[in-house]
Amino acid sequence: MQFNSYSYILLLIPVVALFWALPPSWRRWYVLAVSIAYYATWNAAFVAVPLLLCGGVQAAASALLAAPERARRAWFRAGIAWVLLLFLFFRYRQFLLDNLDAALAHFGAAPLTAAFALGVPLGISFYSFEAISYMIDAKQARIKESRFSNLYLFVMFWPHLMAGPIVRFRELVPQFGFSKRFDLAMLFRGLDRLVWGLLLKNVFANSLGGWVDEGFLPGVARANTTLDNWTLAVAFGLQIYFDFAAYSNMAIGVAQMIGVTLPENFRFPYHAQTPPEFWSRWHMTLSRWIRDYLFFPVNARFGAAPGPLYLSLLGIMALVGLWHGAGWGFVLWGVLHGCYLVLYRIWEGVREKHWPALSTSRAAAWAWRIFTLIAVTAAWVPFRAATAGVTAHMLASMFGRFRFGVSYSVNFYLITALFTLFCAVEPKLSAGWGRLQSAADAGRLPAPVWIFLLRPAIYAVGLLFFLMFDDRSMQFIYFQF
Amino acid sequence: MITLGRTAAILAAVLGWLAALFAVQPFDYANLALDRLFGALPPWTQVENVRVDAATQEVSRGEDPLRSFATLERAWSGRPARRIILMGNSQTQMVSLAKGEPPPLAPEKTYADQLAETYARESGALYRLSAGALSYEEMLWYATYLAVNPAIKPDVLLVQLNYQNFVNGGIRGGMLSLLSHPDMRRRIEEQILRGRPESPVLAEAVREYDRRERAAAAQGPQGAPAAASAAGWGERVEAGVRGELDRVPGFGRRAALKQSFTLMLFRCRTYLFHIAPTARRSLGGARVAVSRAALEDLADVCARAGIRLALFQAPTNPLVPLYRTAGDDRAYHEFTNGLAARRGLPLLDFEHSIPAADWGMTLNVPDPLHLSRAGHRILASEMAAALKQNGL
Repeated sequence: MQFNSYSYILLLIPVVALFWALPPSWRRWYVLAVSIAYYATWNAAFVAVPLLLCGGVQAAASALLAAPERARRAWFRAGIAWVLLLFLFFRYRQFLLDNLDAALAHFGAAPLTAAFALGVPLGISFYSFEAISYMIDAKQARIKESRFSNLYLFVMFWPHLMAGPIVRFRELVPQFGFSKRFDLAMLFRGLDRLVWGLLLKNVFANSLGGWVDEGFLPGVARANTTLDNWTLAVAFGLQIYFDFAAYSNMAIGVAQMIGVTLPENFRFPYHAQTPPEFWSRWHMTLSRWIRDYLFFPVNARFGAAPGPLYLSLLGIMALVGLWHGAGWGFVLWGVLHGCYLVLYRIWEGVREKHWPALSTSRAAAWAWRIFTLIAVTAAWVPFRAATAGVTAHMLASMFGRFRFGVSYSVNFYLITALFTLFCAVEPKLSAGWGRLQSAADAGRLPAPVWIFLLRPAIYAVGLLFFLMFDDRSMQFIYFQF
Repeated sequence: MITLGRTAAILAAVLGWLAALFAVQPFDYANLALDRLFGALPPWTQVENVRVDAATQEVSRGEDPLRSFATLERAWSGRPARRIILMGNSQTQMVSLAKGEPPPLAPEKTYADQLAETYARESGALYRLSAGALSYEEMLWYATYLAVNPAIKPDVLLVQLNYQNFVNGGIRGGMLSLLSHPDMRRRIEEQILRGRPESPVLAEAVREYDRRERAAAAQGPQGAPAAASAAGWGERVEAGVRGELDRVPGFGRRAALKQSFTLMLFRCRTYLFHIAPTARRSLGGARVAVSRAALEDLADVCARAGIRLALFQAPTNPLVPLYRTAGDDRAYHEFTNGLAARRGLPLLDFEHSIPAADWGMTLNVPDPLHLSRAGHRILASEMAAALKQNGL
C-alpha cells in the first residue's frame, strides 16, 4: 500500500481518529498493530523478517547490557553479524548470484539463481541500518535497557518503515509514550506535509518519470544528443528529489498527525554550495547515520592523516552507493560523490595553506556552487542507467563527444526547465508559506476564515492535483533501496 | 469534544471544496478566458461531432483496440473483396474548421470515412486504425497483431508518414491488451530479442502489461476480492477502493480535469511564449532513430505476413513550415524515399496537396496537422485516385 494510494489516504482518517480516541497507554500497542498490518499489505510473509531481525538484535543487546566488559564485544559482534546476515541475504543475494552465475557459465555449470528465487522485503535497507545503530548505541551505553516491544516498535513504526527517515532509537522511543494531547495545530502541520508530499509525488515526480524511463532505455540512450542527455540527467535528478522528498514529507506529516516528530530528510539539496553541503541537505538522516556510525569511528582509528581520510571517504561513499542498490552503477555513483568530497577537502587544504583570502571570495564560492550542481547532476547518470555502456555513452556525450539536436517532444524540455525553476524558488515558496502561517498565528488573518475556509481550500486544490495526476504505475523510487 | 467537532468541520470543508472544484471544472473557464483574451476561434471549430462507425473505424482511439478488433472481425466475416487498413495520427480522425466554414450540423466525415465509403461501393473495405500522436512503435505493435490474426489481416496496409510523428514514442496503455494473444506475445518477444533500437520500448510495454495482469489477478473476477494469499492484501484493497470511488458521480472526471489543465498549460505555452505546435523544429537523435527502426521493422512484419504495405506522405499546411532547416527537410525525405525504394513500396505524396485556405486553425494559429471540411474532401478525392493508380 503506497503512501499515495487512495486506500492508504482513506484508511488514514479512521486510523488517526482511533489513535486519539484511545487511552494513551493503549496507543503504543495500537500503533504497533497498525504498523504490522501496514507491512503485511505488501507481503504478509515478510512480516517475519523484521520480527526475526529484532528478535536477534534484542537478544544480543540484552546480553551485551548484562555482560561484563570483556564479553560485551562478542555480543556486539553477534548482533551486528545477525543484522548483516539478514540484510546481505535478502538485499544482495541476487547481485551475488548474478555475478556467480556469470562465472559458472564460463565453466558450463548450471545457474544458481532459480534456487533462491525470493523477493526483497521492503524497507530492509532502512530498518537494518536502524538495527545496527541500536547495537552501536547499546555498546556505547547510550541505551540502558533493551525491551523487545520498544525495539520492535522503533523498527516497525509505519510512517518511517519503508524508506526512512532513518531515526535513532533515543530520538524516537521517548515519544512512544504517546502522551501528547490532540491539538489542531499539530494536525495541520501533519496535513501540510502530507498534502505537499502527495503533490510532489504525483504532479512533479511522476510527470518526469515517463520521459526519464524512455530516455534511459539502452537502445534509446545510445542515440541521445548532448542536450537530451543533460536534460535527462537534470530530469532524473529532479524526479528522484521530488519522489523521495515526497515520501519523506508524507512520513513526517503522518507521524506528526499522531504527535511524533521525525527528523527532516531534505533541505533544498540543489541549493548546496559545495559537495559536503549537498550531503548535509540530501537524505540528511542517511548522511547523519554514515557520519556518526561509520565515518567518525573509522577516522578515529586512522587519525587526521589525509591519505587514510580520503581513502575512507571513497570507501564509505562506495558503500553508500551499494546500499542504494545491488549494482555497479550505484557503486560508481557513490565513488563519484566520494571523489567530489575528497576534491573539496584537498581544495580546502590548499586554500588554507596558500590562498586564505579565497575563503571569502564570491567567485570561488560561485565556482564551487556551479561545480557541485554539474557534478551532482552528472553522477545521476550511472545511478539511473541500466548498463555501464549506457553510462559511458551518456557521460561521453555530455562532456566531450558533443552531438547537437533534440530528440524528444518540446514539452519534455519545457517541463524540465519549469521544474528546475520551481526547485530554484522552492526556498522562497517555503518561506512564503511560513509567513502565511505566522500571519494566521498572529491573528492577522481572521481565525475562522483561515481554519475553515482558506486552509481547507488550499488542501482541496492540492488534493485535486493529486487526483488529476494519479498514475498507479509510478512507484516510489526509494522503495527499491 | 470541541476539537473533534472542529476537525470534522475542517475535513468536511476540504471535501466540500474538492467536490466544488470537480463540479465547476475551473480549467475549462481558464481556457475559455485565455481563448477570448488572445482572440482564438470559437471552440466549435474543433469539431467534436464526427462520424463514428465501429465497422470502419477503431473507435476507442487506442484505448481498447481489442474490443474494436472483435467488431472488425465480425464486419469482415463476409470477406470483402479487398481489405485495406489505414494507420495514422489524429489527422485521420479530426476536423478543424477553417475561417468561414459554417458550424457542423451533422456528423463530419474525415477523408478516411469518405475513402471507406468509396471502397464499400466497390465491394472492398477500408478500416481506419488511428489514434492521436500514434507512434511508429505503436504502428509496429498494431501491424504485428494484424499479422497474426487471419480474420482481420488486411490485404493492404496504408501507413501515414508525418514529420512530427517521428518524435512520438512508446506504447499506450490501452494497446497493451493485444499481448493477450499468444502469437502476438511471441512475436513481440522475438522482436525484443533482436535487440533493435525499439526493443527496449517493446520490453517496457511487456513488463507493464505483466504488472497490470498481476494487479488484475489480485483483484479477482469482476472486481471481487480474491481469496487471501500469502502475498500482501494492499493491492486488493486498493483495487476495491478504486472500484468504489469510480462509482461516485463526478469522480471519473479526473482525466477530463487533467486534460483541461494540460490544455491550459499548452495555451499558455502558445499564447505567452509563442512556442506553438507550428514552431519549426529539427528532429534527430534517439527518438527519431527508434521511430525509423520501428518503421523498418513494420515493413519486415508486413513482408513476412504477405501484407502489401503502402506509405503516404501526410499533407502539411503551407502556412506552417515544419522543418527548421533545409537539412531537416532533406534528411526526412531521404529516409522516407530511401525506405520506399529499398523495399519497393509505393510512396504516395500528398505533402503539398491541400491549399492553405483548407486547413483549420488551432487556438489562434494555423493548424499544422488538421484539415478543414474542404481539406478532407480534397484529400479523399486525391487519395482515391492515387490508390487506384497504384492498384491498391
